Amino acid sequence: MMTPSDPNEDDVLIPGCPLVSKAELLYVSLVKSLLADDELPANYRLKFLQWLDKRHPRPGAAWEQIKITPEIVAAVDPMCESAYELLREAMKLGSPNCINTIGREDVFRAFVALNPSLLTAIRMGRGQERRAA
Amino acid sequence: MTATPHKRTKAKRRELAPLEPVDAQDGPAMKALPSDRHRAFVRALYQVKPGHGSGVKAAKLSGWGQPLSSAASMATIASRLAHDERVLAAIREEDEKRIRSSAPRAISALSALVENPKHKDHARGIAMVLDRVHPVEMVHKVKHEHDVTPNAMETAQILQRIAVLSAKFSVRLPAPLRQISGPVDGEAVETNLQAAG
Repeated sequence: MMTPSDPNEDDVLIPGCPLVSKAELLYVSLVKSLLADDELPANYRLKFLQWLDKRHPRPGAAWEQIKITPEIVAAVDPMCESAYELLREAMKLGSPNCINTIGREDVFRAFVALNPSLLTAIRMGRGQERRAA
Repeated sequence: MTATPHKRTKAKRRELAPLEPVDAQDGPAMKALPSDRHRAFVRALYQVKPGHGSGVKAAKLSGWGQPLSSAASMATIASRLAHDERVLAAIREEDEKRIRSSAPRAISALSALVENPKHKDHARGIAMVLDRVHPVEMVHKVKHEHDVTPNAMETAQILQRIAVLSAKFSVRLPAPLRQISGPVDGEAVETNLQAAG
């Protein structure tokens, strides 16, 4: 049995994570970086927090999708400037291509290298699944 | 000695550039116009500078009147054209087409907003992208807008909601929170994430 810190498990965590969940975690990270700005007007602060509050899969969503719980949101660190630049480049591709690009293993690994909390969040999501099973 | 009134000479009219031929399909209202000159008049209305005299300019540009037509007769021609029901229907149709065709420019503007973190409306751009372009499937959308005026009660409730949500997600709260000054787009969007990969 693999332990959470097992490097072999980390190798399969990223490819095994659904594209949508990877994108969602990146956007959570982006939103947290925006929330970290003290100058953010209160109306946008509320809007972003409400967006975070809506991060739960609807009934009938793909079972393998990670449930973005408040604990997972709290565990994700705000996106750094380099990662944001990377994401902005991907966003230039338009919605579907952007998601496909940021969900690619090599690209997502670059985001994880800049923000290791993303991997922690995926690990937490998988841990919840195991507990539920 | 009495000064003779100086007669103002009329400056030479600036020549208007001829309209480029448009190789595009016209809508039904444009097609229903009785002549090409009518269609040219409708198109010319979008070429000339808006304001007083734009109808006359558009009429001249589309070939109405004669070289020696007086200003009064040109004004009459322009007025009759501009109040013709068929022309009005064609203008309405053209308006819709132009608004729809401006969508790519609007999207480019939004992209520029998102790509520039220094822009004052950067957060607004991100909010729009999250609402609309995020990988979500819109199941149904109920849109309503309410104005959040700096009513003390509402402001307190909003600030409390921000505090609750910030605590829930362990997000640091700035101190002091800024007062809400503008309208908040209340948009209830139910979403369903689809695994694309």
